Amino acid sequence: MATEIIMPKAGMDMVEGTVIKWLVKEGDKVETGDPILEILTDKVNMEVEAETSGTILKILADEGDVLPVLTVIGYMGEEGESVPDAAPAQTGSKKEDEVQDEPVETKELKTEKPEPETYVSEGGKVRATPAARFLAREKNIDLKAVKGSGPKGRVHVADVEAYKSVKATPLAAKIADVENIDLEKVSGTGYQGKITKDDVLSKTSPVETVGKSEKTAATEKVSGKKLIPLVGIRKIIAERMIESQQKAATVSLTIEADMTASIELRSSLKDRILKEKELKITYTDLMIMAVTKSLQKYPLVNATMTDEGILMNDSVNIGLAVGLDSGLMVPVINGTDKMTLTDIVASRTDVVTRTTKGKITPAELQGSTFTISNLGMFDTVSFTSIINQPNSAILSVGTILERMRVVDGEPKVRSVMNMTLTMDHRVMDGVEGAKFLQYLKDLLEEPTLMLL
Amino acid sequence: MEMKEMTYKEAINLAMSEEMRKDKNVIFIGEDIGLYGGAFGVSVGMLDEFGEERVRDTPISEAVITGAAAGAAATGLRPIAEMMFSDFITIAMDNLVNQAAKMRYMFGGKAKVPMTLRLPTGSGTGAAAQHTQSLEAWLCHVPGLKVVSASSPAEAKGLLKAAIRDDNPVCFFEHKILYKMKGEVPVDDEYILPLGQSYVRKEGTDLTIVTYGTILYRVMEAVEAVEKDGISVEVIDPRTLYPMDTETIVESVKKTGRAMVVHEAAKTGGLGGEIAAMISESEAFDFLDAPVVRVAGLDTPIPYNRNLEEAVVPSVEMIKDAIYKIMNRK
Repeated sequence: MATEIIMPKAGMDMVEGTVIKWLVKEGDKVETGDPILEILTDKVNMEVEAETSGTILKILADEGDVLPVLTVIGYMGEEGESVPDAAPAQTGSKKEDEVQDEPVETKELKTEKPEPETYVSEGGKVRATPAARFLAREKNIDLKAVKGSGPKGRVHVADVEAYKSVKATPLAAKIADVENIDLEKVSGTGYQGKITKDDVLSKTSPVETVGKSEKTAATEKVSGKKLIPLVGIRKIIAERMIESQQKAATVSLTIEADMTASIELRSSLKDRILKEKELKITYTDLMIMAVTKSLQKYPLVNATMTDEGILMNDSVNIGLAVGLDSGLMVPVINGTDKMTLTDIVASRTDVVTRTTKGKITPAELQGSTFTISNLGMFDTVSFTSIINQPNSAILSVGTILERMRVVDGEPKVRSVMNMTLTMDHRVMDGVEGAKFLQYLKDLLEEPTLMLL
Repeated sequence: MEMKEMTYKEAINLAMSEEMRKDKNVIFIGEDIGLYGGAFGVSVGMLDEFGEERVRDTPISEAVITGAAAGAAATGLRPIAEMMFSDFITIAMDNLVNQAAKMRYMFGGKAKVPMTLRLPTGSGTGAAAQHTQSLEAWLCHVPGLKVVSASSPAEAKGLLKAAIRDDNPVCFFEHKILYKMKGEVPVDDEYILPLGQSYVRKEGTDLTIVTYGTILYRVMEAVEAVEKDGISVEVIDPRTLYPMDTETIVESVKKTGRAMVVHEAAKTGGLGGEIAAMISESEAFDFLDAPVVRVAGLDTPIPYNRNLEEAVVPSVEMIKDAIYKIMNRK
């Protein structure tokens, strides 16, 4: 029997993925573990490996397709085996066959209608009573799709009876009811085929429903302008930014630091680290070090706002904003409070390199306690950033400029740099942020203080 | 059918007397059953009617009572023996378990042991830990014994007569709290309730409760209360605890999809576990829409203190709670 190739669910909140590139073509033979395609999740590029050895029989998804997780995107198996021409209902993993004990033919017959969310307990088995199972078998309903009303989501007979194979939003169901539209005949465009308001409304007017990409094409045709659909990483960034702005009460404080001593420090260490570790120390590394020390002194700036209260983190995990053509990414360097400068250089080099190559894992994009955004390399003098939730502050670092400054009553050329702390006033007051910045400035102006 | 109102203990007395009138081989032995009329007054008047030859007071030795009954039964009589309290069966066990229960089997069917052992059982009398236990599960575990529990006066009469006429040792549990209960009893002296038949006490569609003894009435009260919330419960009294008519129970559970066993006996090792396991092994399994639940006595000796005594056995409230829970209404 042919094996389904599916769009994997690579993270808790991953709902859809983009097919970037197929690394194989129909007819190719692959071994278990061979990369067969590259996908883009909401944050990273990753390779999907073959789950079994065999021949690629069918490729169903085109490069660039944005598909819900668990969608069947191809088939592999024995050479010459026949496979369906279209993706079947989104039935998820193979385990289901074992649970359902259902012949394949039936499953393939009920194609086109993607199945809704699943309610599966740990271990991948559905928690259902024997009677509910019996009824589900009779009615040919996938128990995974039925929401259980019993303890721990146990599916009872009443749940199976109440289950309608069509999933629709409450509003869509209401409109369908009022307009007397049969939901069975509406194709859903929402998550896993859920029927939305628009799907139902399109049925009320003579205009036929158009899919996401067709919609885009239609809009472009009318306006004559190129439309970039809001999907993938762009969509995630858009959502997270607005969410952060709505959540946090932000205040921004700017300070100027004299970087002359830090520049000297960096150049004195540069060759040594290059020789010993083959790594290049950057100003960002010095910033991470100084910020970490400052966060340890002012831990409220390193705190996390939770529903229960302000959570004081017991380690410093620095998120680094990395700008890519595809969009912004914030990989995290964990435990910088326990690192030497060399450790920081090594960790920063590692995560940034992998991020730019698209090889960072979703787990490495989570868990930061504070974020640094450095746009100095683009000559930006000073700027503010949006807090990377659930952090309570973010530091925006500008470029280092040579400027005339008064030193001991004399005008001198000094290297100065602007830093702006954008902080969540819910977590701390302006004074706390100002003290943090002042201490950070002290450390950068007199880096030997970091030895204390 | 002609009926007469009488108490549970009068119904027991009537059943024994009718059988003794009918068959001269039926005799009655036990402690203080003659002159005194029995510890609970069950056998009042029987000595006068049947004489000392057939209504015999025994020494205070339960081993003697079961030994004499087993021997008399094996040699041609149909003895009815009374334990003053079912708790005392512990010292009568060898004669009951190793002799009475085994003879028919070990003699290849050539011997029969038509004895009936009456066992006043259960709590609620404030008689403390050694006089209030419910030990029916012990006896159900011994192949060769039949075990009966009668829950009303009419059933007491009909089942006891069937027990006396049975050619095997029958352990007949009578709940002490029921002795004073009144009810209509058929006067017909051929009124027999066959052993091995469960009785559907109340029909229902949502839940099957298997229960017996005094606790049955608490179940009925709870069932009536939840009916107001639209929960329809079927109540089954197995009447014969061994060999139990499981078919009636299984059919009921197939209909309702939920099963609960309620008994006064301690939960661990109690009949509830046996019935629950029987249900899940049966074809009712596919129809189960909730785990089979046991509502039973706590695993503790029955306390002397009346409040505590009440607290260790299932109450109406506890049964109601269990019903709402199994119905997902909580």
